[in-house]
Amino acid sequence: MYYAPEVFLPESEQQPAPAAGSADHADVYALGVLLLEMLTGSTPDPLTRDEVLAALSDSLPIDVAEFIEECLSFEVEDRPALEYVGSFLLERTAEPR
Amino acid sequence: MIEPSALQDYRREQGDALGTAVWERVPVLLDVLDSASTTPSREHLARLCSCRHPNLAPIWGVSAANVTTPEAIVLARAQAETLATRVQRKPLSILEAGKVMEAVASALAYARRRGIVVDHAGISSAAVYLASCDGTISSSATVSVALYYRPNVRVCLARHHSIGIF
Repeated sequence: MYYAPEVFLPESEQQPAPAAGSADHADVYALGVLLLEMLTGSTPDPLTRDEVLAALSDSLPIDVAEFIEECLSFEVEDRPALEYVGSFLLERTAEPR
Repeated sequence: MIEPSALQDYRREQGDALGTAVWERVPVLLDVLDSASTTPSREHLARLCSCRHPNLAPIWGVSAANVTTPEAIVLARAQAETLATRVQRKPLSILEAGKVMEAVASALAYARRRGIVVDHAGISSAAVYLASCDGTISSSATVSVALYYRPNVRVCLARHHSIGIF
């Protein structure tokens, strides 16, 4: 459930492993699942994933919903950097309204 | 290294629940390595045991019958409920989630910088311990992530089905 989709690809289709000491895109996906669980109480079910993500903006601020979608993107390049995942929510909360 | 006989003491205190332990007043997690899997290298164990991060549960030692066959790894357990338990009660606010996410991402980045491979199945709410026992996440709360060794030369953040809940 916390595995990124690309983890299940055949080895020949997987992207090269990240350089030693650096985070990889699958880390961000796993944290996206964790974030979704924290804010909604549920984790993405592969069968209902699209519906759950589409409905996020009904219960969460639009930027938070979009951020979770980015973390859970099937396209690894669309996922944010790990450092940004760690700081996004707190920085957003600290911004003056 | 922790003597194998000490593991028996852990287990006696906790009954026969293999893989779980309570050490007097200080709770610990105990993960028993699968001897059928790849034996971890001493270098990797040493690297893991040297991890020091405010958001990672410290590893206390490795149990081994001898220096080449580690049996278990013992790590401290925060005396607090898991994030999974907290979320079941009520989802977190955005601010609360932000604090947890910052802590977990920091711990994960640290592990990566040290060259430790993390199994993503282990990055779960059951592996995150909230420092405040009442489930509130204050500005001073510390979030500990349990990092433990898996025998396939990977490191997982502890999963609830492989550790004791006590």
